[in-house]
Amino acid sequence: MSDQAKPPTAVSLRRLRRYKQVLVGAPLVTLLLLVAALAPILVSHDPNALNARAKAAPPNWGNLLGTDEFGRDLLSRLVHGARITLLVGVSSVILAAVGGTILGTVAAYSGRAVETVIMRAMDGMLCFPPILLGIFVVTFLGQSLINLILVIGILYIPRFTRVVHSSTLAIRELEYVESARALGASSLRIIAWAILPNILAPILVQASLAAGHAILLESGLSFLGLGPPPPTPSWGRMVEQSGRFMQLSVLPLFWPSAAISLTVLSFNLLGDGLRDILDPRLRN
Amino acid sequence: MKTLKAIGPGAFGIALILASLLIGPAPCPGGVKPGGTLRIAVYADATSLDPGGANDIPSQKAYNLLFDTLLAFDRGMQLTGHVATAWKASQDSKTWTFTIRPGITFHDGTALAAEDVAFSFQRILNAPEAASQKKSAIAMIESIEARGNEVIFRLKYSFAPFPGTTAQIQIVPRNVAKEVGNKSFASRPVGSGPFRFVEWIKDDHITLDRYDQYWLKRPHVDRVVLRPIPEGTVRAMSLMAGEVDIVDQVSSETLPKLRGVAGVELLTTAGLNYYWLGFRQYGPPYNNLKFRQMVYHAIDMDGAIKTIFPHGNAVRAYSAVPPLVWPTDEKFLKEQALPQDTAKAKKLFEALIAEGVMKRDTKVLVSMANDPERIKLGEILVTNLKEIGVNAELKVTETGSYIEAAVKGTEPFIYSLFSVPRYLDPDAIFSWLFLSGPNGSTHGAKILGLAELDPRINDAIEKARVISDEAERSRLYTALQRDVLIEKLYHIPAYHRTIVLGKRSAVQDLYPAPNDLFWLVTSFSNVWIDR
Repeated sequence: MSDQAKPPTAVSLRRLRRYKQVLVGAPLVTLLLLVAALAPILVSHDPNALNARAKAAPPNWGNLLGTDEFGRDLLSRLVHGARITLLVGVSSVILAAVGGTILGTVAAYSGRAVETVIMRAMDGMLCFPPILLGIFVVTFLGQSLINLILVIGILYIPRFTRVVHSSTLAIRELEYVESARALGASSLRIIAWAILPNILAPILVQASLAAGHAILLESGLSFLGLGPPPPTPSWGRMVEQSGRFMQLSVLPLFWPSAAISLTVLSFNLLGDGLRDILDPRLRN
Repeated sequence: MKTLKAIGPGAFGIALILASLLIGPAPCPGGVKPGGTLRIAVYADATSLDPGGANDIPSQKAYNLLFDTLLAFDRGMQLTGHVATAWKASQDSKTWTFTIRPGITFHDGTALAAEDVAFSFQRILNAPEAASQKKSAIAMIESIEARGNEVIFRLKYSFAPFPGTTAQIQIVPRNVAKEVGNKSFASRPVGSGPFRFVEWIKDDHITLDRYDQYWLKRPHVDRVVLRPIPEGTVRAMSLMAGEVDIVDQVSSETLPKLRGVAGVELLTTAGLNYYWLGFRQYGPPYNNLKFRQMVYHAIDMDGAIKTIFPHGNAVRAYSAVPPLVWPTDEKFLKEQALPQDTAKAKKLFEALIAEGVMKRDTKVLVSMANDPERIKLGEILVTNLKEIGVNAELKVTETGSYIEAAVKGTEPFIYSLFSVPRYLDPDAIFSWLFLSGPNGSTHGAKILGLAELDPRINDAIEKARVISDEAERSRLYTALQRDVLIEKLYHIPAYHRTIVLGKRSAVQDLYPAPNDLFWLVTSFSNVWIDR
């Protein structure tokens, strides 16, 4: 029985069922996105509201996860922190994907000199430890959400460039590209209509994997005090602040740590699953 | 019987020897057990062991054990004779004569003479501006003369608190310092203090050995090792594990944990320090009084201090004058302090917008050094300002570049710093905080941007320092403080940190010092370990 006999949607759904990773990852990612989008509806507390009467309170009915040492509701900070984390994770990956796709196709489509310059520059960037570069840039440009997105986005460009470059190299030799060229299509037109749709799968896989890593990097930089400036709720900073009180109470440290782990795990599951589905070589 | 008689005295002798073996060697008076290594964890490593080269607290903590000063502090932080046995001023307080104690030797065996004292002061006066922060503290000295066993200081103007300034100038042997040069002296310092230098492995440890010929008393401990451990939690854990005997700066998050640990004791004393929120007057809206009032009304300072120091490591400050220093004007300043009043703050904000001083979305920058406690203070201030609608933002900078930017830059923002007066006189506080110009400090006034703002502040400080009458000086300083803190609101006083030392119970005869140094061997103490 071949796949051609069935409508394409049915094929994908059946394949999806075969790949349990996606079945776990995709709903988790969706859930996280929903939590981030509906944050103000889900929690009633202002995440930054100070409460002098309830400092470092244990979980109770008013504050389901308790409060931090400022008397701020931990659940609200966690939920609003999801917005920051996902915003940084997703936007930086979009930035990296767009940048990487442009650079990758340009490298694959222009002469040897341009290709060498671009790809060697990418190799150079890949050797640089991401946290170090992050520290460097944030120190000089200052702490802000935009800078954080820019830094992480630029750091992940090389990954996309390499994927897009190699995929484009493979595809541009195929018959349909050749025929398009024979019909007189311009390079831009070939890239836009013949190549991009066919390299979307590896970009998508790379994007969901990179999102997980980007979120981890964002948390790391926030942990080091280089994330969005306080009092903006951020998971990495929450870990750092509650870590100092670890010996007195563990729960405030547990919540943001668990949130970071769960988020990274769900993006990784989604990415791995997508790769299994979309890569024909791994299909059987 | 004969035989018995013959062995009688012998048996008695053996019994005596046995008995003395059981009892052990005769104990020292008061049960003191000399010997052992005292391991101290400090929050930061020294930057230099040359007392002319560095004036930061971590360096002072180390070199204070190596060197002596003309005068020293007793337990109540009152000045007492140390290397100087007596001191007197001329009628006009312009000439000061100190008599040097005979019989003091440096660690290299040479005798400490009046010439060494004169040299030590001159060395700091001759230092290039940047090299010695102590220079501004003794800038009033015009000439120094060593005559027999006396040192005579002639000042440019009458300066009543002069004896206090001598407590921070350590005496170095002139022959050694001249011979090896400043750079080598810093790496192998020679002093006359209770301990002598053994080695310094940067960022790892400083080792000092007992100086047996110390003139004041023979130190009980054989060796002192200072280990820098910057992280408060790690310091506390090292103390709990018994890896160190003393830790400084017990942080508020580790305090409750340490309180319950067997074998660990906490020593507390009022701290000689002042933390404040300041406004850099380099531009609007920070140089506007209404803006400063708005910020004062916006912040919940009592709540902030409870949040930052839940276990009481600090008391709220209303005055720039720390505990132990006069004049105390706490009552008046406390009454005049602006309470948190969101409605008033909002009204002031609207007025500032109406007057065109700032726009509704003008970014108000709160800049903090990378110190967990002051970051929290900044976080609370930003939240409080946002509550009244101000577009406030917190910026955290690494401590070194923070001070550099504050001293050299002219960018306006709300900042927070602290000061520790170098001697117990209001002049040490106010000249550092508010004096500018040639006699002023390099830090305080520059950070505030006060140079062109109010020459009367300069005049008041310069006037108060030349008068000898304490009551008159007290009146001047009180008026000055009310002017800068209440009328002009240059500072919002934040807190005075309490000094909290942690120690193993075995460490005996240790007292916490309000100036945050270690009092190991002093006129009133001599630390020993009961192992």
